Amino acid sequence: MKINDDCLHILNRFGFGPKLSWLSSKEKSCLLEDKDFLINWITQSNEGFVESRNIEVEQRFSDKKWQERWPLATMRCKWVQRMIELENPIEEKIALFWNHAIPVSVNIWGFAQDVLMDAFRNNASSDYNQLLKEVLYSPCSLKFLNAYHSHKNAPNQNMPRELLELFTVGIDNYTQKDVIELSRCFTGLRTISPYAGEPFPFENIPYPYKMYIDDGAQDRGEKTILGKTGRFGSDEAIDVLVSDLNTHFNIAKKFMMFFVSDNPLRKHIQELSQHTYSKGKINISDLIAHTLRSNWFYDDQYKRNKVKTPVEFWVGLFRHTGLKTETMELHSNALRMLGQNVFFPENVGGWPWGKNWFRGINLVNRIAIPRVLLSISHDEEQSSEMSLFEKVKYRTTHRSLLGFRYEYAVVFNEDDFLNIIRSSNKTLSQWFGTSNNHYNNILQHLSSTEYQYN
Amino acid sequence: MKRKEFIKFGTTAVASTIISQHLVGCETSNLSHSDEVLVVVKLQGGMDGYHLLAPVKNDIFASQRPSLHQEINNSGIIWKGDWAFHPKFKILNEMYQKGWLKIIPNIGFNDYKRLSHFKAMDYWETGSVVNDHRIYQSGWLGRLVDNKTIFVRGNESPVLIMDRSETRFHKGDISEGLTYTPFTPTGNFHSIIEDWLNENSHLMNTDLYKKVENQQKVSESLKNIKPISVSQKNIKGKLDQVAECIEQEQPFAVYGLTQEGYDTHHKQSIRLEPLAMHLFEGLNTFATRLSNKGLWNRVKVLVYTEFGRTIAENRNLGTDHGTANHAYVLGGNLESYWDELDSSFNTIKLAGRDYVKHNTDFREVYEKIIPNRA
Repeated sequence: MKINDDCLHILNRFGFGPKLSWLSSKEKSCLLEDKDFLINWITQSNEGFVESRNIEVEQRFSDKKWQERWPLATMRCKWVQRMIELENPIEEKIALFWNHAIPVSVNIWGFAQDVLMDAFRNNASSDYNQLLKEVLYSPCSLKFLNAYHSHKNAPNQNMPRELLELFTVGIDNYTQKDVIELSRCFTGLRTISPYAGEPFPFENIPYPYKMYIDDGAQDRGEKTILGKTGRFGSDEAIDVLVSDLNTHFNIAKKFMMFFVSDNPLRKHIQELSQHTYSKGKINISDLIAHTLRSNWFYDDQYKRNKVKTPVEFWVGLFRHTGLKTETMELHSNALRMLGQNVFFPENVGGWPWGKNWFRGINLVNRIAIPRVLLSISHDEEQSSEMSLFEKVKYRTTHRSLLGFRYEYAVVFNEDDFLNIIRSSNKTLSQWFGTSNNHYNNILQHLSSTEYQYN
Repeated sequence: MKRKEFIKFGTTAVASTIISQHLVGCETSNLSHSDEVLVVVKLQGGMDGYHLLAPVKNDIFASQRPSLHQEINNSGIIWKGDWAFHPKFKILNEMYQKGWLKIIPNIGFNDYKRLSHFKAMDYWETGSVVNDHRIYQSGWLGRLVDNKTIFVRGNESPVLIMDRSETRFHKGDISEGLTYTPFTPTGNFHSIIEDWLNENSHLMNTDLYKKVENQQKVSESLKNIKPISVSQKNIKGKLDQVAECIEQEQPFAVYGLTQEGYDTHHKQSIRLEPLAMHLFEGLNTFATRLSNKGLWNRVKVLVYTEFGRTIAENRNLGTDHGTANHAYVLGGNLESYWDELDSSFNTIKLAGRDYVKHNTDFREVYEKIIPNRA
């Protein structure tokens, strides 16, 4: 049977692409052929999410001290490895979406970043209100947006302004007075964490760093935000903002731009925002189910023309080709070269969208890195006595290019790959989802301009 | 967009004098690629210029920033009239006395409502203050390159951005500047990309192919520049790179740099002063180096930031988003009209708070600073 184009489309958008091992497994290969079966498999929210949260994927770092020295890079590597290994990484993809939609840069070392990631992952299937509250009350956000010091005598306007402009209603839908009133709601938030700037002993830090409210600093008066008046605290203020129609539109727009297309049609965004507005709450898993069951999602205008973000590109590379790496440092370094240092967006506006990823050195790296990775293992001789995870030393040129300092192992078995493709009666172009039969070998496919799009 | 439309945004009276001054002394037909150079330094976050150069005799300023006012009033160096430099920033006065630095006070744009980083940056980069960005997606410099107003012989992309930040001022409808990040290892990707370009020559007319090709040309052209290490990945290191490029007579007319970290909502003096010190020391070194080689007369540097900050401090010893600010122009051969701009300090009340009112529109600076006018 032929690979269903719609199935590939779903897997590329609501996942990171199909895994090579699926082609040789009977149960999984019907995911590529039967669209309804695939939709059910992805949207089984209870089973899929709970199962994925409990899976610990195998990770090996070449040097234990590296993990202690670079905790954020370690976290990055572990997350990317989960994306590669899991059969249904929909939860990770949603967490990546929230990374794009609510960008918070980490200028805190240590475990505070775990709190942020937990906030994204645990709330993947809950409402936007809940997620926004957990993210904004984490010590990373409180420090990043200077909200942990705000006092009723002179409230800080940074977090309220960015909340209004970027995360909810959007620019031109609020006034300066709204910013001032909202900054009164966000007074008094404090966090127990040394990294928030207060002098504090390093021991006895209660994880997960609860936010508490300083009663003396909180402004308890009446406020008017977006036309609604009441004695709002920060929780109620967020509820007021999220219930506005403009918020629904903006979230639907970001959803479309991340999952569906770089240039989505306005009528489809409005359909999604009407759907969430009629329900009264924004729930991502609900939106996903609605999109998968619609007709316009499978239009030709939405297929194969969305630029992959560096994470999607990198993870897709591993899943498509069955590449395996023994040492995890590779992921962190590669993502930095491709331009997406996860957890460190360049500014509070967040990551680029669409074609803006094709800039300068990042573009060159996207095209060159597949060639560098796959050609290394080609040149090494493989005898039958060697195990699959054989350590291979970098050649000095590539070592300086990719910035690695440790030995690593990236294994790609071209014969295995081609055997699997042939035995499942697929062609290379069908497997990689390109429309062109122009490419004769794997390297050409992976460094083609078409592979940059989803 | 035609050149006349661009000039329409600024003051037409000034434009005609500029053209005549630039054409005096150089024949357009023999304009070489290494003639004038402009370095555009963007300070991201909204630097509080009034922290460095303050109107000490003004009552509103004195009452709303008491500690800063006291510091400057006691031991600051007078610039002119009511203005004085912060005592730590003697370097600004030194450069001003040498004629290398001109300060444009109270520069801004006519939007006092939004006070947003992104809108302000859009205005500065597109060179327009319209609500609808569907009209002006392109940058002011990109449009000039499209219309061949900037002439650099033999180079279709005379703009080089030495950063990974998303600047837009060089992106025109047709042309787009090149990016070079001098601190990432590029090494021998050169041969890999050559192979790719040869294999994919059927894609020659697509955007992606052209971008890769341009990037290849940049790495070819700049291969003799020593890459800086990660610890030097700051504005001083990048200015060193630019100085080296100018000395090597690289075919670029405009270089773009960024320095981040100026959004000082919290503990402003501790964060702002070291950053600004670093910046101006770097600029001084840059100027001295080029001046010793006799190249400083051809170079101009524009330092700008997207907006200013509130006059009053907030309780965290920081300031929030405001309106007008200073911009700085450096060069070896600066004209006297920079000194003739209106430097009076005026304020305006918005939602019960005081903000600075701008005297000069930011587009006038662009008018005056374009290099190599064809």
